[in-house]
Amino acid sequence: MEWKIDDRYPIWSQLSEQLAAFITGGQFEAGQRLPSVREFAADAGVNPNTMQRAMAELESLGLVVTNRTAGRAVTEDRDRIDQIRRTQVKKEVDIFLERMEALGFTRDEIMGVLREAITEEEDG
Amino acid sequence: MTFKLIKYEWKAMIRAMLPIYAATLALAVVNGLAINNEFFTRAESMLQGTFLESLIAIFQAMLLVVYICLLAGLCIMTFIVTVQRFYKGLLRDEGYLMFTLPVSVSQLTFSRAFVAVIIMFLSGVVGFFAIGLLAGMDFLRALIMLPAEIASAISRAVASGELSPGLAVHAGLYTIELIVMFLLGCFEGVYGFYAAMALGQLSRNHKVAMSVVWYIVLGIVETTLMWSLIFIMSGPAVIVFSSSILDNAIISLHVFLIVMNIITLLLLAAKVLITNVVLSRRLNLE
Amino acid sequence: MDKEIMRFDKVTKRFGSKTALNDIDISIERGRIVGLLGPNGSGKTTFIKLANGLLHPDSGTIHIDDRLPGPETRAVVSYLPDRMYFADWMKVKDLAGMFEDFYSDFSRQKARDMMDKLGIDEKDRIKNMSKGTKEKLQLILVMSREAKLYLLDEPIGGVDPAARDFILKTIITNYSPESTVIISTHLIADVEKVLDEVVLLKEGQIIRRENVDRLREEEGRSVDQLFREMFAQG
Repeated sequence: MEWKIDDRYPIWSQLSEQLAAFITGGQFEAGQRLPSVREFAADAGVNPNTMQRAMAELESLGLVVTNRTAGRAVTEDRDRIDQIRRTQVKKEVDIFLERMEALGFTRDEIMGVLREAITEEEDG
Repeated sequence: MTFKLIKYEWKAMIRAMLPIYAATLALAVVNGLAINNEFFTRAESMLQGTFLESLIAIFQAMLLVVYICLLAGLCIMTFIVTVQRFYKGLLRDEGYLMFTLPVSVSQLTFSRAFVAVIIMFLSGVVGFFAIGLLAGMDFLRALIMLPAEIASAISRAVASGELSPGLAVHAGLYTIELIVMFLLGCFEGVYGFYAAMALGQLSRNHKVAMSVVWYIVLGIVETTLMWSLIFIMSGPAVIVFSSSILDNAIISLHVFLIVMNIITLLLLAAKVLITNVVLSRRLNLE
Repeated sequence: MDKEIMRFDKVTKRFGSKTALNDIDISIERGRIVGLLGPNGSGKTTFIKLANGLLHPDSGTIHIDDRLPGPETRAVVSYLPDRMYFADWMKVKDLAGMFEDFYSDFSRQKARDMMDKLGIDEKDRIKNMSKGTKEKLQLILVMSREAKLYLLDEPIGGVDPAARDFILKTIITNYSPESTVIISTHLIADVEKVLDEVVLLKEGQIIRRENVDRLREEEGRSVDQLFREMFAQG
């Protein structure tokens, strides 16, 4: 897995964001068992305590459930995953719009640019 | 734990000594054959005056020189291995491993001293055989006969009344006292090196040179103490030895041996103490 | 069980006229990964050598797992020195055997598994290995113990990025959750992600102690930035 950690934010919050993206992005499916905290930590090269905290965050978001016998797994609740996925998209879109507006683009121009980019990608 | 330390120390030391033991003994056998073998003697007389005869003579002389060098090497190697296993094995990088094992400093130094004494003894045995083998197979034959010879000599002495049971007891005691003296002396010698190196490693830059200096200093202190002791004791000693209790020569010898053993024991204790205290409180690994 | 694994009380250590550590007070909890940071000569190695009993303090007291440093504490401390400590004659199995003999918390199987991954054979002679492999072997042995306290002196000094990743992963995967790891280093950026907290040493004194997450959350800076600020003039 590809982990990106920068200097500014707490490491655990960066980890929980990326873990959430792994789940909503489908790398881990609903109900799938997850590797242990230690394995995740080794893979990301971070402190297990920090990974633990990121996992706790995902649990409180309802993306991950802890089963006493089977360890941690992705929730079976697809609606919840979808809901989180929407908030992630919303957040990214908000950031995108904010930047485009700062560059002086109107809503119509933005739509045009987007349509163009998507057709180009489909053709290419 | 001490036993495990001894096991590892033994492995390391015997590894260093085995080649020279083997070489010495092998050359002693070869020399023994070369000197005593009939084939060589006959060959020499047959080849008398020829070039080959002098070649054989040169060859024999060379073998002898190498053999003498090996005998000297045996002594030197025993000394070097004793010192080096302590210096390199404890006071240099390997010390980082040894001093962080869950054992005490006294266990570390004792295990090394113990194996060093065994190696000294082994070197002595190898040297004895090496010299004996020069005499060829007769030596081995004599050696096998020796216990029986001694036993028969003792029984003859007892039978003729020369050896009373009382005297035998004393002879036994002397043997024990001498063995103790030998052992204490060996340990005292080894710990003498250890104490000097323990003090020498305190120096930042010249650990080896300072170890030599400390060895000399310790030697001077020891000699001074011994002579002062002799000076102080000579008065009382004369009185004791001239008193009626000790006019018996047999008893006097016991007293002498026991006093010597006590003195050696005290010296040993002092050196053990210096080594262990310095290494546990002032270890100075680079 | 007491919460703290290690405590220094007013510990001072001098070498001749030079004071290597001056009046250090610190307590470190169980279950933490702590970075001991500072430039060369700031007293990191002295700190670690005092904790494992290789050095004796001139004044003050040290407690490891509620005991003074000695054979009993060494049984629960796993130490990686900043140098090679192998004897020339040793093969891998001699050294592994030695660890097995002396440390009851050593797992030969764990060491073997890790060595297999690196292609190290137990019959290999240590003297013939490359410097990098020797360093990894030493780390493997140290991390194959189930110790209460790991003291790692400059484990990533002078190694390439691939070796550094191997080392950090080995540490993360093998320490047990109740044990504490102390890593001394002057390469902060590389280890920052694995640390719970950092202790900054300068000229024999602790000048700062920080929780890595707190620093980022409340001050918005990384330990690397903090370190650069603290030692900017040096």
